[in-house]
Amino acid sequence: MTSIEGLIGLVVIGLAIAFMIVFSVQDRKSKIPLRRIPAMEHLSRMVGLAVEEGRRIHISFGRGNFLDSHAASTLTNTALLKEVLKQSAGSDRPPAITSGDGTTTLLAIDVLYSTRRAGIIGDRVDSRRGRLSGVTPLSYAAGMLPSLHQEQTSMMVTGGMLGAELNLILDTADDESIHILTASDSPVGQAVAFSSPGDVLLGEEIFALPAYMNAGSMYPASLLAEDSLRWLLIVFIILGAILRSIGLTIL
Amino acid sequence: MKAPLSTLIAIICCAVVLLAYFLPFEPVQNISQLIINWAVSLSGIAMLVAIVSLLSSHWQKIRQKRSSDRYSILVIFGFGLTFLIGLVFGGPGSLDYQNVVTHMLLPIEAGLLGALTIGLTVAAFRLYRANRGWMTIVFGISTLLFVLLNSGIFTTGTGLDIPLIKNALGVLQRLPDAGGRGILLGLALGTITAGLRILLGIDRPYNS
Amino acid sequence: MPFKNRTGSTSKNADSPSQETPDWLKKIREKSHLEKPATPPLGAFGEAENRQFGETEKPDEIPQWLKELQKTESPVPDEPEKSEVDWITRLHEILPETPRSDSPSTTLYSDEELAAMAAAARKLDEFNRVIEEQASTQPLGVPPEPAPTDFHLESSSPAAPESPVELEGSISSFKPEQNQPDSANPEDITRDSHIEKEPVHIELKPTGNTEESVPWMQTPVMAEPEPVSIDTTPSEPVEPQPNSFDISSDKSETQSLESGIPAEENLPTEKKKSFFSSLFRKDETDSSEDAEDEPEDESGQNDEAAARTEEKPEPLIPESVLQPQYNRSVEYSGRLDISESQKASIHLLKSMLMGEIQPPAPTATQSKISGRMLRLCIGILLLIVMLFPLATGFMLTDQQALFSPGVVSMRTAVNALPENSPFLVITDFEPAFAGELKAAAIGVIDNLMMKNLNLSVVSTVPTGPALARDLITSVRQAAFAYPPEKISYLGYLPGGTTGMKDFIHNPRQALPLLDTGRYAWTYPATQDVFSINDYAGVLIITENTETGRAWIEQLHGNMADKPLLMVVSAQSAPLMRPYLDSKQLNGLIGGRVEGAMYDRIMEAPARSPVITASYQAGMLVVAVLIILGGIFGLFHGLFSSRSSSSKENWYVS
Repeated sequence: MTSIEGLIGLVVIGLAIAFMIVFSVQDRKSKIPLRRIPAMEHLSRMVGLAVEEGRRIHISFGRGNFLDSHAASTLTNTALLKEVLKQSAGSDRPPAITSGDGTTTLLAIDVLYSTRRAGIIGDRVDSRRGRLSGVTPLSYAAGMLPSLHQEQTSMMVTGGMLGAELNLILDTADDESIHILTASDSPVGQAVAFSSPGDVLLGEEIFALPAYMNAGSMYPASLLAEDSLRWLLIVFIILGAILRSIGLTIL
Repeated sequence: MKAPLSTLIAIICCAVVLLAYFLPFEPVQNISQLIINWAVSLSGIAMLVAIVSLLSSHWQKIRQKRSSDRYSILVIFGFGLTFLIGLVFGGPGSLDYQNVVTHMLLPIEAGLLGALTIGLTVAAFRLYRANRGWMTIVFGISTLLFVLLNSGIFTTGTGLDIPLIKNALGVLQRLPDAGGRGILLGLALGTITAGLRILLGIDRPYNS
Repeated sequence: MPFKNRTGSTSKNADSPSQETPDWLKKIREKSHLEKPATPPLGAFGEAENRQFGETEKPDEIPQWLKELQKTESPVPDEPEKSEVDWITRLHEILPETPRSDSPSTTLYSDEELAAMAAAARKLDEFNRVIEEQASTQPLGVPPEPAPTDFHLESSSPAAPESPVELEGSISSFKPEQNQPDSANPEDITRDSHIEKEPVHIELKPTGNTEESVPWMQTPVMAEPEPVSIDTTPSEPVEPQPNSFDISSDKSETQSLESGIPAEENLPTEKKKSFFSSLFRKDETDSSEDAEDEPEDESGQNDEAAARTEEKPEPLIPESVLQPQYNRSVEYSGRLDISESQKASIHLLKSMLMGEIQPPAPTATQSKISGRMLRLCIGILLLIVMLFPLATGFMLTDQQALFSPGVVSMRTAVNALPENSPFLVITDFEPAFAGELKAAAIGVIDNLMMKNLNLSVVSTVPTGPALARDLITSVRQAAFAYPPEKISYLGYLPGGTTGMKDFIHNPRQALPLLDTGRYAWTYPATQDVFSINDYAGVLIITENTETGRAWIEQLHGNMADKPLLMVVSAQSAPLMRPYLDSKQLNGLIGGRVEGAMYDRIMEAPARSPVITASYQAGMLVVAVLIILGGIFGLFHGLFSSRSSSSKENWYVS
């Protein structure tokens, strides 16, 4: 990496930290309003409905590895899982988790056990609740399908790395009348989910899940930091295009 | 703060790897490399544990009194067979293992991909069900356009060697590039903030 | 009384809530005050109700069209309807949101409602005339009146309940204070003034059969079980306030009167729907189940009503006088005004009941079946169309004539590679995509072999090494096979992106062994490699944009001036092209079609052109299906919106 690229990277990270701290303080003073995302509203309602019906919520972590570029969506899913576990604490059937990666599976199981230790959920956790579904895209999707058929699933959140194979899951969920929220961090997965009737989160909306589930003040703050960085980026892209068009090249 | 030691370890590891990415100092690079090696080893072990968890869950499904899952027997049998071939009969580089992949796994996955293709076609056919307003129409038209472009029909024949047509096709090919890049930039920003939450010790998935 | 008296009448409780009013009724009244009905009649009525005492209605407040309508109307004959007005005016006390009929309601209804009321009123006039001719006794002090006009009838009819049974709730909740005239209309006062005020003593006695009434109607009766003595000054023959069951019971007395009534109106009162069932008005299309249930309920009511007839006190007013008045309300039972909140409550209750009654939604099963059928049909269609070129050798198009920039760059980069140099091939694709990627990459691999490059093959996918073997052996087979010593299969690289970083930083440490178990870096193909920079170039074959992106980002900057080439599936190509534009990639082939372009640009014979034709045929079918789906969706959307609205009406009405 060249020194100028490294410097830019450090500046971006420094700005992100500054934004997050500032917005976090602001959120503690007065709640930062978040823009309306219908899918998020459905999510809270469907979690409540699933609890009332005594049916299961299924959270899919996707195939993202905790050690690669999908770590962010894996973290988001973890925060979401914690909140869903809290909100569905009274449910007869605790949420089930599937994953396509070993470390992510362990992480999900750890969250389940830690919530049990904290007394949020009862002693109903077994290995079926958090499991590896499959390690390749299609085997992951195929491994998830029985859980939709057999486990009294009412709603499902599919996050993380999911590509075109998502369509198999969406089709089955549609057949089983399972409400589904897709939060794939893959553009291909987002395109597939867009053509299905379920809720879908596009782009960086997937990182907003914990903020809308009221997971803590830092989540809305990081959302706002993202937005601020995006606006900066837009300004720089436009500036760069203008400068390039008049024959100036900075980088 | 719960488990301050694990939080401290996480923050230090995160900071070292991040600094090594930006700063070309040899000691930092070496420590970062060591941490990465540990992480790779741990991820391998995690996969092993996850596979045991997978087998355990299928075993429980077979054993459950009500609605025992017969397909779980196939999962365990398939796993055992592949494992045996991979471990006993020469490992992943052996011809037997290659046959397992190319004669069993490949057709199965190709079949699933075929089913997926049909599913995607049906989804495109029933696109109106998604009911996302005018975006559905835009999406449908875009899908149609790029299906035709990627079929290669417009790039065959010598009569197409006209600058206007070539430029138009080039512009159309670039449209999804721009959209895809926009989405990726958004995802990258989200990744930065998610990573920073770990770095700042705010997000502790290891410590609920 | 919760409603303000616009005339400022002397009623003490007209401007203050009644102390005796039960809590539940207070809440209903408060709610009725707060709500502003949306429909014009109710909305305007609400405004009228909010006026202060003594404040008369301004002429400006009346819409122009209603003013014109009023000009054509004849003077209002009050007396014939006064007997109804008295209890109708109290209907709002029982029915939350029900507008009081003493307001100038004719000015507040829509054209349709006015027409309907007029029609109903005409029938009522005929009916009144018949009664007046046949009745043995006339209502007290009521002189014969000319036939009332539409205007007159409209003022009273909207809030009229359809049967005496409907009044059971209202009667049970009456209080002595409530029985006083509370008419807010100046016209009512005028009417009252010229009518002989004769105190009438009505003794109400609960029937004790409260189980039959709707629970919320029972409450006041239960709370006040004692007989209530009411002193009132009626403006005309006093409406009997006793329990409706008493009124509807005496069939024998009404028989003679009803004989002269038109058949449609000549229904016995027992056949009238209860107030509660009137809320659930049904169309003719209503379920037969409900229709079958009704007679049983009503016959049951008949028996009980007959039993109560024996116990009831002698009515002060002959029922022969009262009965026709109840009968005629049947005509406009459908005109009961219901507020939006009441409608919502009805919807809710009805949906609950329907949910109990109806079997579990068959539509879901149908859609499931139709979805599977659609999938089956489209699958068969695709299969037939794609098999056709394979079976017949039919070619849709000629060979590729235009070449994408990535393909041109790829040719340039491969041609520039030095011969016999180490070259890294990364095969990060899943078995499912092996078919597409093999077709896309085979030309490039063949070219690399022509250069006699020493290939190192690595994969971050567990099945990748086996698929790489399959790919490379399929390029040149048997006697033409590439020498084995020129290919080293380094096997599976664990750790995802982290593993990539590790490999790029130190390949020998990250993957010390070949997938056969031999030491990797003494093998002829790899013995000259000590760092990633020793490779002459890298070819990444993947269908996964994330993996491809990770490799590019990790390799770029670590491999100075070395070509970075990529073969991806068609789905990933759009996301990889920006890297080509920014020169982070030196060559890009996206999918089968660009693979065919590469063969063409290298002047090699087309590989498996029949499969390409099959692929193109499938794509064309998909395009046609998208168009058809759009057209079908358009029509289906229009059709379903109509059918869903009609279905909704079926339930609501």
